[in-house]
Amino acid sequence: MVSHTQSEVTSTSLPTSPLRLPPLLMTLLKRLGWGLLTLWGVSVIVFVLLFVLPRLRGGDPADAIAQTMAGNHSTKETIENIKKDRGLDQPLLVQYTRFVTDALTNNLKSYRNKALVMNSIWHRFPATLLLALAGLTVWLVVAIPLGLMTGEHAGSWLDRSALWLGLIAISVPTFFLGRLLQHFLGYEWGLFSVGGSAKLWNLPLPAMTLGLGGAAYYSRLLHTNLRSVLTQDYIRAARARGLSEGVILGKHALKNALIPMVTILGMDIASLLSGLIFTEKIFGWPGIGSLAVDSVLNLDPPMIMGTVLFSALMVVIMNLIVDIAYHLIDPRVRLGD
Amino acid sequence: MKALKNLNAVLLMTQQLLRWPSPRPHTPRLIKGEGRSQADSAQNKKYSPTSHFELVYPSPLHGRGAGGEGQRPGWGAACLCCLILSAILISGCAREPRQPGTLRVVSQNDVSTLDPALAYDTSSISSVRVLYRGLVDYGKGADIVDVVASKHTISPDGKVYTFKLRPDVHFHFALDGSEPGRRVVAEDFRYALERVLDPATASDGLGLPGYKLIEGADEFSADRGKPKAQQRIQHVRGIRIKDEDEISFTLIHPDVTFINYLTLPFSYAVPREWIEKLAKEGQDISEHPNGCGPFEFESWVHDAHVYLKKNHHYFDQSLPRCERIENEIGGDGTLHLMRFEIGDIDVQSLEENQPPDFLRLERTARWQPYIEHAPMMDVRYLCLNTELKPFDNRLVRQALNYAINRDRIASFLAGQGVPARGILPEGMPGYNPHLKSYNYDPQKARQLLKQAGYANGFTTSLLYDAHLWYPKAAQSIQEDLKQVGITVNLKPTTYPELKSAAGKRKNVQMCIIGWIQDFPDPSNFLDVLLNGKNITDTASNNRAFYSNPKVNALLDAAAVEQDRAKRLNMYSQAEQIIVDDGPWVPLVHTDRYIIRQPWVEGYHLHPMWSARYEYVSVS
Repeated sequence: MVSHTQSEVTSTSLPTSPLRLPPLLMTLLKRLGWGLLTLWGVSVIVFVLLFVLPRLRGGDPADAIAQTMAGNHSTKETIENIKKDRGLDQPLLVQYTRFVTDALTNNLKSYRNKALVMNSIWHRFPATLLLALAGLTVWLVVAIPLGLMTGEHAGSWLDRSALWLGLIAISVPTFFLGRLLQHFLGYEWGLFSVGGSAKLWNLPLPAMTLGLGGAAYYSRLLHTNLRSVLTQDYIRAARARGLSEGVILGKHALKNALIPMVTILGMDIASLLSGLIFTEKIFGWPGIGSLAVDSVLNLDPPMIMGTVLFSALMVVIMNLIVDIAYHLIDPRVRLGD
Repeated sequence: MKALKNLNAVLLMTQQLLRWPSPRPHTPRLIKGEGRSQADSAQNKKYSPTSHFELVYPSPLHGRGAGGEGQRPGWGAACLCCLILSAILISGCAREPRQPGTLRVVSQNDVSTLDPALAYDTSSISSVRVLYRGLVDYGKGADIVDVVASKHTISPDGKVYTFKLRPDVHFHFALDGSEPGRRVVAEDFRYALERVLDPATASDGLGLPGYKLIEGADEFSADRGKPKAQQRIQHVRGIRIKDEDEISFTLIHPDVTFINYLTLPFSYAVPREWIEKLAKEGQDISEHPNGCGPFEFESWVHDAHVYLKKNHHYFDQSLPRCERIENEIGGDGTLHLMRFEIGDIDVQSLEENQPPDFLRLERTARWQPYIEHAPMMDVRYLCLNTELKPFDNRLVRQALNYAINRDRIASFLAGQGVPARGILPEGMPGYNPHLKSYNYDPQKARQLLKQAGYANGFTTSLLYDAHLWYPKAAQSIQEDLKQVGITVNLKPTTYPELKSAAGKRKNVQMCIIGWIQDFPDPSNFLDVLLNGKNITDTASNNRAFYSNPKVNALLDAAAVEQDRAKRLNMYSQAEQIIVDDGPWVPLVHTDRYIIRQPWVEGYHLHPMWSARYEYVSVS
């Protein structure tokens, strides 16, 4: 046992070639490369969906876009001008290249109000961030104590009612839960604002809508992890050392039970930061999710491209962060593998 | 991904629920832990340090029924959680108090521009028309009244319009930002129109027929389309400025509708020096509006709000009647209605709501006195492409007019509209209450189809916007036509795609589409939508591609006719011929509905403007 560990240590501490980058950096670069490839793939898919698929159905996307922008009294010349101005009359490959170069040089402009797409997204980002943080707070603030309590008192009334409520909270779709909370807590009982602009008093209901399902999910996840952690020998050893139950749970068990949650949490934060379509729409919260929906309804390809790429970017970044965080929390996980 | 995860969680929970029996009766003391090996539990039977240890410190896994015993390390965290949650909750109870004198409205979409040369959608126009002012505007109805003009005259031949300006109208801001700005003069109106006619501005007004009626407007536009060095024309020939106080427009031919175009924001006065200064700084007037209207600009945060405040230097001291307008952006009809009922919003349009919401409000005694409605001045119709078979046959088109039950389609609007008999909505000048139209008569329809040589019917397709009540209308039409032997394939799509496809020649057989007036004149419907001269290969507004020389001649003659009664009569005649030819199956004319709070006065629906904020008072 001992000799085996020693041999492993020696093998990893062997001097490496001076040209080789540290493994962590190497892996990060590799992941970054994959991330860029993902973004490129997403841009191709969006472009195909917007400009190629409608053609296969016999429509003319360029014409539809130009006419939407030109208004009711547009003359043929106006429409042709708009097409020329936006490059919609160019071959598809040229159009795609233009999209990509514009996106890379931050020149992607909304067809609708000519605003820079990045500015619009950036402008909405604080609202999205605020809602994401509130939702995340509800998740963790509810999930960790609940997970601890139900994990410790498995099978108790608390555990079982948490289980049932959690089952309901996860199963109810957001658009239904949101409307329910809005109708009863906001409209009927007048406890909270029913929604509106990105102000603090409009936050509770969207945060709750967002938070309940996630809280239920994470509390069950923690519960399950905790139950398996609590059977471990080191917990038994901690008890043998006479540590208080609080210290055992809070310090030894919780830390280990949280590790598997990091990956899922990372992905969920990415989806929170790329905007929440239903929650934002129901409560009129001006985040990136509603920007994306509006851009589709207004048939504004640069904005659609921008919001989708932004979401993809969030996922790529969070993936990277999760990888690093994992490495920091649990050094046994080696990034190079 | 998310769905998979949720499914996984649900499965996990169900598994847990099924696996665990009821906690009672629970076994005391030594309990076998789940997931623990048989050997372990056998060990428990004899005295061993482990079993002792388990007795002293009951493992969390042994917690069945132990809800009331042992330590609870979770409680501290639970308290913290409650604290944070209640902080969020308490913040939710705070609400902005209502300020008297402030009108609070909401809109779903961001205002697209505050530049009068570009404002052409409802949300932009509502704000732009109180920030800026034109020479003339509509009065209480479709009548024209002077605003910045003190009086206007039209030459006997109907070709020259002359306006005398008021001496007491000022822009909101001077170049240095101080208030009020300089006086509004004739040049400001010429500059505004020349901006619209310059293709570089990309104004919708350039496409309108009205401004091109001005002598030299087309040449001016063409000249401005050239590179700067090659531009030769300084001003539009037909816009003449006598002095600061007088401006006149000379038309290429008389057209009584011309003055309607001067009520649109495209022709509202803008200060040239302000726009040029902004351009130097890389800004534009859309973000920094400076007009001479009853309200001045306070702030605009994209997708969040537009705030306007009272212009204390407005020449008509009785206006505006409220201090501020707060237009909040975002949310949908359901949210807006809730906020209205709670009292967060002062005026709310009911067009964006589902019929049940609308009917509930309409039947609530509390709100009944505060609901107002007026015709939308529109027509929604089934458009038949007269260039494509079988709709090139007049009998087939007439058959469809008999076969479709409009009353049923109108019923989908929950009272927010009436069945359409002709092209023009009631209230439009030239509306003919005695128009001979079609009744629902499937028998007659079958007979006409037989005459046309389609005794066994035919198959066609119907393109429509899959939004609001249109899908229901499409299904209803499909069902009606099935009764007379016509098979209809439904093709739902989006509005932009519908508009693009239907405007293309020989492309779409049937579609459901609509038109809302630009100004209250029959020419805006009949001429724009049904004059054969207005057919274009793409982006045609004449989507039936209908051309009847008799109708075209009548419409052309009516456009230049100076005698109002005679003119309206010509439009009536044209409408009757069109209805007889049946290029359309007119379906419904819809209504506009708004609801206001008891403390809001003066918000009357206007036939032209969706909102006239200057007349609204909030007590």
